[in-house]
Amino acid sequence: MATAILDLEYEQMPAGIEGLDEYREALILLRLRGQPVGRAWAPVQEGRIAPEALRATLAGMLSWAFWERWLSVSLGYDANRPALQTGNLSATVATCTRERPDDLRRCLAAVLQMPDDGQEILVVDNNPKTDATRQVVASFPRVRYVREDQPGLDAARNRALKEARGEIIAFVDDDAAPDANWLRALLRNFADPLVLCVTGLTMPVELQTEAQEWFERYSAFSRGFYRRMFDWSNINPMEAGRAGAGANMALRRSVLELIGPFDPALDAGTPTQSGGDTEMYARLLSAGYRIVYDPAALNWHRHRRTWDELLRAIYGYGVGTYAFWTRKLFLERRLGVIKLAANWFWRYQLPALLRAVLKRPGSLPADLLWAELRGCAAGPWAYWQARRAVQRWEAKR
Amino acid sequence: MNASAAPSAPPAISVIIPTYNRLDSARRTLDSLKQQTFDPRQFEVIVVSDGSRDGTVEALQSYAAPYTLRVIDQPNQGPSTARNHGAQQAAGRWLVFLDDDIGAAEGLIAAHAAAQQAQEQRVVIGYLPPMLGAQRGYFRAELRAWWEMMFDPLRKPAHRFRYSNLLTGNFSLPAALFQQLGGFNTTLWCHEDYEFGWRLIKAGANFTYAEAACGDHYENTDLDRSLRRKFQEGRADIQIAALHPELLPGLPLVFLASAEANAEATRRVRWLRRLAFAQPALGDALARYYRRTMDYWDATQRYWPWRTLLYDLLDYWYWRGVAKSLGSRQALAETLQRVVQPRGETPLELDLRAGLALAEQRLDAEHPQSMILRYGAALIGEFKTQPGEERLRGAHLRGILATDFCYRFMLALAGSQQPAQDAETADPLLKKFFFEAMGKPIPTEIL
Repeated sequence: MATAILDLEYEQMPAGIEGLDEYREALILLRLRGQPVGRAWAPVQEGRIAPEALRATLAGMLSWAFWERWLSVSLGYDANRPALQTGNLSATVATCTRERPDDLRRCLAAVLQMPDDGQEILVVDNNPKTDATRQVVASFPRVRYVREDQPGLDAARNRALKEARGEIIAFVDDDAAPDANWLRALLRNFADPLVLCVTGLTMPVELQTEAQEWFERYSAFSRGFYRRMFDWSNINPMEAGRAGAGANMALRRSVLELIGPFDPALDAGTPTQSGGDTEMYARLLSAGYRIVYDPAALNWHRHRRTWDELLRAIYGYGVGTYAFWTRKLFLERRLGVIKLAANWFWRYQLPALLRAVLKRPGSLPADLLWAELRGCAAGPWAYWQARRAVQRWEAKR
Repeated sequence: MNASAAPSAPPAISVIIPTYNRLDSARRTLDSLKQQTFDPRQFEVIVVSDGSRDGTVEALQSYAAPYTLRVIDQPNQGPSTARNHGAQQAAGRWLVFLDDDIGAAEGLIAAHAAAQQAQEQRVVIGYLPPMLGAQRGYFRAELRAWWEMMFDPLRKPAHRFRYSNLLTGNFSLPAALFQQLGGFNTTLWCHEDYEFGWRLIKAGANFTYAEAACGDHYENTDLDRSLRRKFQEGRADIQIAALHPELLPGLPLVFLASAEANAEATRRVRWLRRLAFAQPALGDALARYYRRTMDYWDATQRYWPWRTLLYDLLDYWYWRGVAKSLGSRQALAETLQRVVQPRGETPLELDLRAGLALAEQRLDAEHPQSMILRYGAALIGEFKTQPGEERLRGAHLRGILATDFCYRFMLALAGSQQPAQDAETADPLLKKFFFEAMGKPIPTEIL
């Protein structure tokens, strides 16, 4: 049985919810005047959430994040409203994609639903085998098409940064769909000149299969409902993944000069499979710049549907994390990485695996944890291979 | 004198730039003023050379510009005297002070002029994004962050301005206000901007921040200069404490002398602070040794040891300046005894149930230093401005309710009679309120 996704507005709250016959549970996103303020799971019984159950769930998700937002809205005061009008920051929405025309079509449709503030919309077609992506883009006249032949998501991201006409480049994955206010919410955080990257809240668009439900629990994109500012005084750059993820992020184009491009040896489409976003965050934080996580920048992500895809994704996160650390350890001589990796293994990975094998309540499926560990073990070699592939590519060019 | 035709009417704005032995830099500032969107016939530029020996005066005499340029020479007496000197010669209704290491954005003067025209008695603080030079390593990032962080709070809506928000590098005010206060205090060689900022606040000036009044600040300081600067700041704070005892409670030296600061400090800095009074020569030698180990941490990319040392050394050099000015622990104790809470003005009492608009009007009319907020029978709390802050205005109220008093105000709205409650008793109240208020904003009678 699947989990329903409910998007509820505090000011238009129904008493109870009907018509959930196919669902056993519901994941509720609570909004206040459009801005996400909380989320919680509610039980579904006989196809409905009864008024009392809904009230209990809502009451359970009340936090100071909610009350602060409620007061700000009521008083017409927003502490994060910048003095600078960010309307003059030009923006590009960029999607990096490869051979997923159906996903891309949905994604672009959602991107075009956002209010038109003059943003450019760009699709980077990464190392295509067919012209399916080009054809999809051709059916959206407002969207610009760019082809990048160097394989790898980071190569595509670098191309987007170079091609973009906007000062801010907001990245949306081809299997994600932005909320209407997404771009505006990202942009307003760039009033602070030290902010080079803004990340947002990602919610699942559906939780239809067991794989999707586990993905949401195992590696939830959600990082809470408080806006947070990260710099090296409050986050270790080697754990920069806590600041957000590439599925929902915007960068200032000047990162290219200030920090350098994404590492083309990392992330999807290369042997390392992930980690390119985190590695960029780490360098950006190490250089003294800031990342803001703002839950007002909401997008919806379709998680992998099958268990095989889920296992591959989790394996890929393991590979990417260790590939990223490999770069930091061997190329940047950051010895602290060893301590982090040891800590992660002894304090989290190993105990979780033991609990799973012993089938303790609340434990994760053992094959997921095992996939992650195998990925970690493969990471260093994958990074080495990927670097050599990049070097070969650059020599050829 | 400039070659261009002198305007018939006096200019609206006088830009005053003190300079000392930095001809190339001053020239860059003058060049940037040639590109202004503001009519060059409407402003004059006065460069005051503070006894430069690099030929600044001679070289600028023949500088061609579309605006009126005057170059004044004075014997070396410090930037404050130079600024006062420039202001005496100024013909404009408003003065814009710029430093000689600033490249003005083309809209800088126009932004100052627009903000000045919008309200009387305004002090307009412009933005100075740092353009770093050859600084390397962690210090480069730290320096950038220091600069940018000065402007962070100014960008918040309804910021309560402090005396330390005034930076002499890029700000403007009416010439009459400058003269009325007698200009900068020339006995200070550091923090003269803060000291002037405080007299402006006391005179009731309206502070505002204008991001569009933007000038690139070419910053060439290095770590050693920043540490020496901290020593000067320690000395300046003793002078400021003597001039304005009411600022003393907010000065870093009072906090550093407290038991709380001592408990937070590393053992290293506790020793260093002791040595600053007892054995300054030994303290300095140790500080220089630690300064060298910072280079090691920088080279091996160990941020936290580097940063801890940096803040310990900044702390030491500030304290060393305090010790140098006071001379003895006895003198420090006497200074600290003068820390008294400012004379209790009666706080303004406001009942928010009568409406926020009314409360805002009363704040604008009375500009109190503190206020007691109630919601009907429920006490929300007393809010006091900090030493060195401007008095309360109506525009501050909503921000204070939404942040400082968020918890207490929510409880009062929910019907609690007590201002402070633990979470356990607060929670059911708030939940009840959540369902009652669902779909409604704040109780309408107060908006």
